[in-house]
Amino acid sequence: MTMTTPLLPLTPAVFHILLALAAGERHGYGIMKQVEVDSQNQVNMGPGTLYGSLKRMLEAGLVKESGKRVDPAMDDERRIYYQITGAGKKALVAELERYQHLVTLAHDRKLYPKTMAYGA
Amino acid sequence: MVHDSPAIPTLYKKLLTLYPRPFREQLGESMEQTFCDLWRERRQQAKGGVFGFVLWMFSETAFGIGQEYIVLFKETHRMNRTLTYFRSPAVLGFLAILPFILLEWGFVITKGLSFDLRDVLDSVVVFGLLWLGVTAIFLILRPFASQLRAGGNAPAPTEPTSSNVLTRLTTNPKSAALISFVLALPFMFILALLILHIEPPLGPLTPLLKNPNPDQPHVLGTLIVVGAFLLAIVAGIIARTPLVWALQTGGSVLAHPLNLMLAVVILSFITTLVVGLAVDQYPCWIGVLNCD
Repeated sequence: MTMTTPLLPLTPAVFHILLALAAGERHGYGIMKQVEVDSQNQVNMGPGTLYGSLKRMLEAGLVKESGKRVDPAMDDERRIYYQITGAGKKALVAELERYQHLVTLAHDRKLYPKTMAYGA
Repeated sequence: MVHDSPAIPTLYKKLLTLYPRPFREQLGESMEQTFCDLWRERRQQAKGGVFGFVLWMFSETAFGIGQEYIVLFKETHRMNRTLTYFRSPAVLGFLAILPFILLEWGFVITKGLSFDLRDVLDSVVVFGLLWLGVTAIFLILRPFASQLRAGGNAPAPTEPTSSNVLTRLTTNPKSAALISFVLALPFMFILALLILHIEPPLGPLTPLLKNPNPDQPHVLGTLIVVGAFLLAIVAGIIARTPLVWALQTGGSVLAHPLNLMLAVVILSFITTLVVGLAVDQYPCWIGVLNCD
């Protein structure tokens, strides 16, 4: 499936936010922690980058607010949660397919270690 | 929010007020919450201080604020309006110095002189400063000229409704005066030193600020002068903004004497630079040999 939107290719920040939200609704702090885990601490996003990206993603319909509630794992402060939309999932899948294509290309050019396992 | 040290989160909340209003209303609360969570996490960590964290968070957010204004700028077509705003004074400034440019080129061509890189750079700096200076004079004085032309028929301006901090700061006479004074200070200081032929004791900065090789262009010195000049131009525009507003609302420029004085002083300094530079370089333009 190919998808063309003005936002493709996704910026690294948008990509990681969508990836984090694909696992479930999260608030801002939760998104940042998930991005750190997903990227193995390679991507450090501050609030300025996170919320600048969230603003554009909200305008593009890739994510939406899913209400305000308490995070039981934290204190009893009510936090605003965000969730990925259908359009966001499509954009994420399109970007992953683009990465898949690039990885295949790299392998064909013998740039990728043969010992690494990857999907068909 | 309860924190054992509320000063930093409070400062961060104040920083967030610099975001454009639509952004602030939509995401400000969430952003503040996220920062508080990060701050709490950082404080609980056994290792590491908080200085680096605070510096990173505030810098990163400040950068984000700048980015949002750039996006807002483009989206509201302010970029086009700003370019239009600067276009006429810039064109007039260029036309004002064009005769001198042609004079120098004419001299070089008729005498068949060679122009090395150093000469080209010197010309660019001199004419660049002249163009900036003349443009600045037009920019600062243009609203007053518009008011004089319109006379009593000028439409009354609408009260600014934006709660944007920058707009409030530059339209308030006292804050505008303070900001313009601070911005103009470096340029006025440098120009005063030049006019009075005073060499300040530079101490450890001497290798940086004095040109070790007069045959080579002093890039850092030039950048400092140009940077200070640009700040002075911005200062002049900010200083005169409350005066223009006063005229537009039927008042007098004397309603804000401090701003008037600052605007006149800054304009005088800019004019002094322009005239002084033109007088100094004129012999070179008309073909006097061995001038610099």
